[in-house]
Amino acid sequence: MTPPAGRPAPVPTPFFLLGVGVSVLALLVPFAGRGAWGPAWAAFGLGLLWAFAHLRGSSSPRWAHGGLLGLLALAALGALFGPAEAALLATIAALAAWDLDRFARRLRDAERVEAVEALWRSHARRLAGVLGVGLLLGSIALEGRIALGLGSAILLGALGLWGIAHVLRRLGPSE
Amino acid sequence: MLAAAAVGLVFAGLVLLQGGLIALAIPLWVYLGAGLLFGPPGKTSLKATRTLGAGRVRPGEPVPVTLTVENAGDGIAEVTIRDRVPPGLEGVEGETSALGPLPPGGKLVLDYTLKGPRGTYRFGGVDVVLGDPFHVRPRVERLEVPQQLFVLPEARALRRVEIRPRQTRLHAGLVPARRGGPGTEFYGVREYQPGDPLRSLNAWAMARDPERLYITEFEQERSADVGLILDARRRADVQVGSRSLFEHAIEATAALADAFLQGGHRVGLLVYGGHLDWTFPGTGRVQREKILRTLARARLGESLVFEGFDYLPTRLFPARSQIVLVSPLLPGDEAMLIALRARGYAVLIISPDPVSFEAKRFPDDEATRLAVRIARVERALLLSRLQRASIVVIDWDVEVPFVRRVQGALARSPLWLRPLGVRA
Repeated sequence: MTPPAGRPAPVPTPFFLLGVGVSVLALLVPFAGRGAWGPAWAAFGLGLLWAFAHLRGSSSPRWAHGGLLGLLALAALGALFGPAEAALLATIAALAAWDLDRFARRLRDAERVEAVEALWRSHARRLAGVLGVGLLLGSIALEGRIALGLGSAILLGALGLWGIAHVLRRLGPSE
Repeated sequence: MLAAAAVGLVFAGLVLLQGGLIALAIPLWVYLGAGLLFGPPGKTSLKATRTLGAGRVRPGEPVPVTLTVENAGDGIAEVTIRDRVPPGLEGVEGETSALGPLPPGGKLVLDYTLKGPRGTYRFGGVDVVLGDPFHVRPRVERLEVPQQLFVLPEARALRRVEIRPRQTRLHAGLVPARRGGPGTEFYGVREYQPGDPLRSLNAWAMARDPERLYITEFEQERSADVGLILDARRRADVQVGSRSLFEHAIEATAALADAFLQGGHRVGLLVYGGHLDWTFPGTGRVQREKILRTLARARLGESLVFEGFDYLPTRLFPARSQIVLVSPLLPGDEAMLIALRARGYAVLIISPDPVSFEAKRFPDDEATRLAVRIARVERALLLSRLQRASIVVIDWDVEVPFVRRVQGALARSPLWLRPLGVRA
């Protein structure tokens, strides 16, 4: 049986739009300020397309993946040539939008959702926490300066690589 | 995808010696790490139970289904349950999947209603998608809840169907046994033997021969062995749109089985098609259920071995018993059927008429009329060959209800009409 047609928009949609909007603005303003209209228009168009696909109720995750990857690429470009703080904000907002897009799709695809409010609240709480921690650590990484010896740097680098490898192994082929 | 993007940012940062790019990757790693950290427990204690409103229904009858998935272990942030509805069944109302949190001791319930055509449907497992809060690494578990639903063909009630096999069983029944004894119908007059009941004395016979005593004998009535054969050869079937002649044959077989079992006979069923599906003979309600279940799972089949009736396993049927074949009949089938008759079996054929069934598929023009006429002549020849061998053939246009057609041809005529040779 397929989900009933004409179902009202899922709860996270306004927050998804907020995420896309913040991400696009955080990219568009610095790019436009420097006169780089190409990336600025690219960010605007990408955000618009992604939001449109979401509102149309597209069942394909490609839009979400494409939107996130595009905004991340533009954020990386922004970090290289402009203020990295704005790029970090754009990254965080794009990640939030990506997560909410997938969450909304899961809600839409299920024929029935139990305790939708509780589900949404707990999801939003966890997401806010994770994004907050990400923003904090990202800001510290951007702003903080610590002097390390060669040995400590190698140790930290190895630790970082081990952590990444561990996460990737745990994730397997699903992500 | 997210992990690839995070790795890409770290890699780009290292190559370009840009710490800012690595900093951008940090929120992505935090997100992925949190997904893994708050993921579903490695070992879950989920238990699924499914309740069917009925285990056996008629075609098209709605069956309510309730599926409950209960969590006896740690809480899970997000669970999707999806019941696998057997192919062929369709949903009438309700949902077959649901999403929600599953706290410790909590349960998710699916209530839905299904209906379907004749068949045996096996319910398998329930797919449970266990997600972490961010669905970073969802895990799919399959909970097995095996169950069966039988959509049995409808067995329309027939009044008594008259059969006359040469061999009957020892049990009392409704088939005249060609033997004198207790019964209701006149069988003959014979000389009195010690032990005969005095109330059987025949005054008229004794009046003609006052020197001796005569008694009236009645014909014993006993039950019989009936072997039903359902023709499930694909090449014998005719499909018109979504309708199949085979479905009519199945309904006829169900009605006949029901009528024979009601009459106290021992009935077996052989489905003859791609393979042989044999239901061992038996009596009573249990046998009725067995036969209906065999009919529910009967499918058309193709086999070089069973292309004709040449390999009909006649040893399955007791000698000189009643055989009832439900088949549209194909040219060449008559040889084996006549041979069966010659071996002493009483053969009754219910033949759904494929010509009139298929004729509706074509436009009503001159060519069709001619083709139908030729096909009818061929069929009439085939049927007359069988009838000449003392095989009772009922040519059944499926537009006429089976009960009405058979009742007219096979019902036992009332006692007072029999001397006149009139059927009911």
